[in-house]
Amino acid sequence: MKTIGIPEDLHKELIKLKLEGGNRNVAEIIKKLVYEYKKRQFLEFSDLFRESLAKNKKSFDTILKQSRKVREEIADEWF
Amino acid sequence: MSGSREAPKIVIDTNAIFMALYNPFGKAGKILDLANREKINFFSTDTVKVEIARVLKRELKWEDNLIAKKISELPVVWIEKDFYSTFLDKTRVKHKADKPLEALSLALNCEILSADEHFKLAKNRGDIDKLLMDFN
Repeated sequence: MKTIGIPEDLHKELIKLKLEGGNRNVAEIIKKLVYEYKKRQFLEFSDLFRESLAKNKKSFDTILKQSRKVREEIADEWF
Repeated sequence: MSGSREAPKIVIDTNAIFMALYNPFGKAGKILDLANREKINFFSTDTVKVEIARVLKRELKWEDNLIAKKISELPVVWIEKDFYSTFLDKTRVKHKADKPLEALSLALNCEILSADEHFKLAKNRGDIDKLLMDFN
């Protein structure tokens, strides 16, 4: 176990969420928040990826084909 | 699989990562989400990391710092060549370019998740449908 310092109002908010949500402890709430944060990061990466495909007029198949070519290029360089 | 078991290790290929990015609500996206939920531990090679970076740079014109940031946010542990290189000779896949990924799966003694038919020959190729069923 580790201790982290957080502002008092955030501490109150976490305790309130723990009681309202029937969570066993605050760590369980933080774990859920971390998951939501990572999920949002991934969705943002996905949005950016698809926007870039459209902007550069590339199909997804093209990306997979180019990826295969790059893989072979890396293998030649590294092995 | 029960929630109390240790999260399984799986080696993930570039195409599965790109598929998850293209459709985060499809099968590959759901699998990546399991890693964010700490139900699966994904690993991949330094070669796959470089492959993704080069594709994003060349095909989609992304800047290096954006690429580094986004790749670091993926729920994947990147493993360097030194760790798996002794297993390269033990691989079954025919193409040199696919050997690092199979070598890593042998080094970690776990399955490979790839949409590439080249991995049919690999002893420990994983099945995305089975994985999803295991966690539903």
